[in-house]
Amino acid sequence: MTGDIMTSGSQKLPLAVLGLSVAVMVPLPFFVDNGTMRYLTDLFIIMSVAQLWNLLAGFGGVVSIGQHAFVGAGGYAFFGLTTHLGLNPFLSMALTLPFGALLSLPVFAILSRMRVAYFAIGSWVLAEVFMLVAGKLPGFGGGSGISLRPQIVKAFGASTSSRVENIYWLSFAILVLVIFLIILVMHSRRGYSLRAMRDNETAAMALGVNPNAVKAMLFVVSGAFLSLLGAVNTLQKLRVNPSGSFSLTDWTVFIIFMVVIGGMGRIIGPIIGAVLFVLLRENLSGYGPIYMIILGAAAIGMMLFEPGGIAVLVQRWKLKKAKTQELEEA
Amino acid sequence: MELVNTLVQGTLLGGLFALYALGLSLVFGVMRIVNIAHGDLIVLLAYVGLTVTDFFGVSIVVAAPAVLLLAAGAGWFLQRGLFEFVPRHDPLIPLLVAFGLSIILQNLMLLGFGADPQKLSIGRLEQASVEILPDLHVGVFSLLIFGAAVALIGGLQLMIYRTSFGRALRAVSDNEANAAMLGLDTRAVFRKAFVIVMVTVAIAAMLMSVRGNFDPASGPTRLLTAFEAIVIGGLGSMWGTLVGGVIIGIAQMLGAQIDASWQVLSGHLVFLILLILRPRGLFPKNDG
Repeated sequence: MTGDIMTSGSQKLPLAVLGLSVAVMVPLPFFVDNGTMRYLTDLFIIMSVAQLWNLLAGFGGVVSIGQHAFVGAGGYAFFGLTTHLGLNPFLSMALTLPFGALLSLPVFAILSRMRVAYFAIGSWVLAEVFMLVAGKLPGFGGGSGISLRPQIVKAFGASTSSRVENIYWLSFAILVLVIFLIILVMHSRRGYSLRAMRDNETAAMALGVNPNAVKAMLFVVSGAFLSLLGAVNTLQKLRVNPSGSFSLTDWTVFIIFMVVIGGMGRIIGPIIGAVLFVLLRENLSGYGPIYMIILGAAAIGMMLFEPGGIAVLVQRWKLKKAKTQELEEA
Repeated sequence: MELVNTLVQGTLLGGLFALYALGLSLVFGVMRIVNIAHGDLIVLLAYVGLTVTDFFGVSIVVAAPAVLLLAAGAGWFLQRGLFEFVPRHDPLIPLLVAFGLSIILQNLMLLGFGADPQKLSIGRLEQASVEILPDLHVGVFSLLIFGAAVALIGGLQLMIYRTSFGRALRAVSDNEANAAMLGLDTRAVFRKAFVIVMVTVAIAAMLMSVRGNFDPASGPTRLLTAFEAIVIGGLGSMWGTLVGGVIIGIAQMLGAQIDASWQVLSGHLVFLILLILRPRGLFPKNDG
């Protein structure tokens, strides 16, 4: 797409911004109330999921409509590891990372058999299968789901407010890690081959890039972190259930809209999209279907007129302003 | 006998799935667009049928020509007003536009018709059955659906391989730039193609709305079964799509023997197994 704008810029600026936000966000729990922290935790989780979808679609050109499969699977894995295997809750949470990575390997192997355009619907079918199977697993409460045991929840903080703080830090740490990893990947040799692939897959193959290997790597990274985020989400919701843990609307539909509106193929895109989404949700959630229609229309408009999203629109507006200023000064 | 009955029911159900799939397959074959909103368009036309029958107080059999006409108009409008403006050099963009359209349609239907499941009725024909073998009764309406699928596929095949418009379709599908260079009005071809797609969608929608319930959220299920039928059959092969639909139909009916929740799951599982065994489908086309 708009290759040069999307891929320009060094890694120094994003890293500096990342450092600054860490300095602001980490001590925040000492200044704000539980409600605000819960709100921000929600934002961090959504933003991380959006970053991971963008990593696949914006950077890798792989559109998945089945990201909720991994979020849900991570939640169920966390529940199974803690409740059925009796593992330490922290260890269980950490284990959802390799669990998600391992799960995404066969999933990718099956999906990559389909042509690019059909990958999307194929991923959706797989997510459906995951959700239906989750509802049939013995010991997970069937279709209505099951609550986490209190002592597992309490491992993350004995009192409610300490738990809210800890989950806040945890989800923020995951977000920082995800963004840091994406910056790293995009500036690695793999990242450059990815850009070559995104611009022209055939030409990239001629230069020795194996598109499928690169896409598989992205898919595994995103699967691993989505699964971890699913575990954190379970800790927030205190329960797993098929329709909630594997929510198509929450973990795929909203996420796609956020990234498309914010700006695909740039790290700032999902950040803008997620913030905008959370703010709009505050004011428009009472309108349910109308809110969805507005989001859908905005996403279509963005795809037709500026596939780079708000990120590129803002950049363009700044350039224009700088130019007029220059002209005025001269 | 129980098994034979299940196989027959599944086969006939497969006809409906093939009907769902034809439009999706055409849009991809001609325009290279994966229309994620396809299932929602089917449901939308079912609601159009419901509205027309309610408004004039007639049966869907009488209202069918009006629904077909409305569908044809909607097809032209969709292509002229939306898809014509979608750049297709990057498959990502049409895919995401269709995704946005899907969510918009679902929520418009929710606003307009509410979440309650609806169904159309055509009276006695729905319950009528014939005994095709001793002790084996088959619904007349199910046979009708299967017959419609066979007739529609036959008709589309004739159109694609025997008419000048079909030649234009194939030319555009093979190579759009070359077709345009040879003096073909590719925009007109695309518009006509979308009109035909929506007519097939209307036929599927009307038969579906009589056969069972539908609601604003039931589009994605239709999309997924249609997609599975196409991939199992092999992209671009319409008779293959019918076979794919029949396989999914039989898998669902066998699953339903265990319990209702296995019905959908077993369809998906059979699809995944076949995808692993035959990634190019049962009847692959070399160009597809």
